[in-house]
Amino acid sequence: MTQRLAWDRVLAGLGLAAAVVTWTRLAAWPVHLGAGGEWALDGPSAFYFLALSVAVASGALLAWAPGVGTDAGRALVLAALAGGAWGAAASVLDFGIAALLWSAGWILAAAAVGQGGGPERLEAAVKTQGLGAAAGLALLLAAALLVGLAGTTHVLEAGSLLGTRADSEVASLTAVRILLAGLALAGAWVPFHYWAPDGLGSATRPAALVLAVAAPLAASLALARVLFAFEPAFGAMAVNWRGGLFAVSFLTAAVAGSVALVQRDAARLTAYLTVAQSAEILPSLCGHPGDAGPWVTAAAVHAISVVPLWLALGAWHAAGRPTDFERLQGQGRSHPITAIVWLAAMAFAAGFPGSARFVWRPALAATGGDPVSWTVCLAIAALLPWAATARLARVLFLEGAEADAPRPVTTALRLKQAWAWVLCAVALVLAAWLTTRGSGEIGAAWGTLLPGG
Amino acid sequence: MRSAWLALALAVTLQALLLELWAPGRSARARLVRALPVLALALALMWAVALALGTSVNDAWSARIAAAWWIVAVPAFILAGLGRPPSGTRSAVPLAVAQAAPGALLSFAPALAWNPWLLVLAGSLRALLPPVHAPGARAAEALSPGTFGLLLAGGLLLGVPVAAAGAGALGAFDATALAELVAIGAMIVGLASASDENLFRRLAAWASVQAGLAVLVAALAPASQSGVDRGVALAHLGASTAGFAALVFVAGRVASYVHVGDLAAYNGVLRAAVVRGQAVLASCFLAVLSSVQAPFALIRLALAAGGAARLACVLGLVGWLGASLALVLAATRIARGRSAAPAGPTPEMRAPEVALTVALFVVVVIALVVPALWAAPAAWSLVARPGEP
Repeated sequence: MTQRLAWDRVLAGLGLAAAVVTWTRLAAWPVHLGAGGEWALDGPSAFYFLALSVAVASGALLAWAPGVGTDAGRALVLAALAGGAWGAAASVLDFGIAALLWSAGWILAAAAVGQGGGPERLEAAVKTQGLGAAAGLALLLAAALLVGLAGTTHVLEAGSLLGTRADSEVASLTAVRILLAGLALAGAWVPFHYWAPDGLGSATRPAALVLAVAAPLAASLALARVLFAFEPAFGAMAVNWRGGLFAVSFLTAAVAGSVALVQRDAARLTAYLTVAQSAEILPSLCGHPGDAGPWVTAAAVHAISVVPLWLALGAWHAAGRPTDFERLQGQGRSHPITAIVWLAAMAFAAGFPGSARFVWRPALAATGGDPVSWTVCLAIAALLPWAATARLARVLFLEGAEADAPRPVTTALRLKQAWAWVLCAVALVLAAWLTTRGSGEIGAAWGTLLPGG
Repeated sequence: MRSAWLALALAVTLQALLLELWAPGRSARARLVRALPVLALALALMWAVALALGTSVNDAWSARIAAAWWIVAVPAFILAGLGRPPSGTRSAVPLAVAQAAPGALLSFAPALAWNPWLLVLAGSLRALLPPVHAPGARAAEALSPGTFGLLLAGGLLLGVPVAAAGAGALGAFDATALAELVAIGAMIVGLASASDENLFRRLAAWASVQAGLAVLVAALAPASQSGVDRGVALAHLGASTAGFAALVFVAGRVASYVHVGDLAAYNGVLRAAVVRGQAVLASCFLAVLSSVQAPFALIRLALAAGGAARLACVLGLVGWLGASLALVLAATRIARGRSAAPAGPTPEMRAPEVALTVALFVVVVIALVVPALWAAPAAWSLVARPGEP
């Protein structure tokens, strides 16, 4: 066990180092995937890898906390590799190569979910792998259809050629719908979200943190590229793609937010909240395709909301405390400070005043093109997570008749517990600092970290 | 005189704090602990009132006012969790979400260019006016009297001016439709409250009906030839809120710690306490008196209007009658005297409470006789005009 934990920490350290190197060397990596799949490491892609590296670094620091669990480091590295594969898939301009990269990412993600647990975790890994395979197959099928229709798998060429095939409108739309279903599986958007509650809720917390950041960002980045390439074709076929995005976003926010309210475990509740909040990236794609500004801001908001959320859950778990509501009742009264930090992280993610989501949502409603509809959608996305937060607060502080029996406290134990909580608090402070820069400057503040400012 | 709104907010706050600090049956430490979230709630409400009185309407103002509305949800959650015996914890989440919802909506107002309907919706949810009054009844059951009074009176102060500003900016058809909806809700709530066995639920219904009548007047006034203007709605709101504060203070001093609001438990409790009995009766009559501006305005509007607008006025009048009757009947039922006695420690009104009650009554009378006090909060007048902000 000791040996395994030590190796885990080495792996977590490697993850941290890789994240830092990625962060500092993004511009210096000339990546070429070959003639059919040239890869442009442009601003949005670079931002994705920046967000991924922040998530991996946070996960690595969390994985060093004693009590996180065995195999946390290994799972973290696998999740980071999955995030890297997904990011590459979202950046590559060839559908065929993208489908392969997505599939590779799913295999790695399923392996990350399955690390270090019993049958329940294995079941979650199998579900993740199964749905991931479905996503890969959907993307491959879409690529095959596009080859048949447009004669190419290059996203930009296919987009421009598809609009000229007026005789194959049904086949074209079918190809696009299959493609979108594959991306929705990757982004865990309702009704294709089934892997996320089990996968994120069961995985070790550092791995879940990385997957919670990577999956929605990668899928939305890929979708942004598809929309940019296919917008002329959509125009020619009179497809209301903004309406489609609204429907998916609304369903995701409403369904995942509602289901979160009836969960009996804080980890699954957090997973559902992550799914619900990933819906708030979609309105940013409804502006002018090709303008990456809103997506970068939405992605930044998602990252700085979700990272503290999962860090807090991980810190609670690392402190040896339960997450199921049965045993969670009244724990807040026994551990008031840590419970309040946890609730603060959740309220921050849910969009309470002072949070990035609170600042960004009004601008997001205007970006979508139909402010009234998006206001309804985002109001639901604001209130359901807030209700879930209030419910967790009720379980922690108001329910349960007896306080938790005090454990023998030693200095070493206090130090061990302090590590994860200090990490969580620092993440919250950083997120709050980024938020105070204002909605228009959130992207800019992150942008200064990117190559070339 | 815009500072009148702040003075009213202060009066509402004081009654809540005093009720919590003097609550019988609790230790001094418990009372102090319960007073802290009340203070936080009061500060958030006063911040929001002060923001509404300003004339600098920009993005920073929008974010601040939405934040002030949102933040009310946190102390509301804590206070609902502190609850009354038996535990009111089941109400904590619904109450907090009901408090957060208007703030969430208001935060989107700039994206919708301050659409009047959004103002109406957010203000209506904040003020809990009919037909979205259910959280008020829940608050009556879950919260202690002072907190309940602060939450509802704060909702009136924050929500009704917004809803009135939005209603005044609607087109004629939309305004009539809104008036019909609110009037039907006010009628149902007012009539139903007369058969409610809980005194504080009756108070919640009364406050909700008064909020509804203010919005009703504000919606119908712009298109009317009667001479009634939006100022009448706001004067009605100011006087009713002052009356509500006095009512809650007196009822809160009379109510048993255990049987808060249970009218059956209060049959005859006041026979041995003449001062309290008179105070309850007087506060109920005073509250009814303070709310008479709306029925007069509705009668004038009904005489000058026709069709749907006239029907809305009549329905609103019926609602006012029902809500007023519910209060007066409750007071007479409490005071008429039988042998039953409430369980738990029961407060007695002593000299300081009597003096404060008299002071609150003076506030109500001033609010009633000086309608010019209640000028519209400047910010809501600005944002309700298209293109202004």
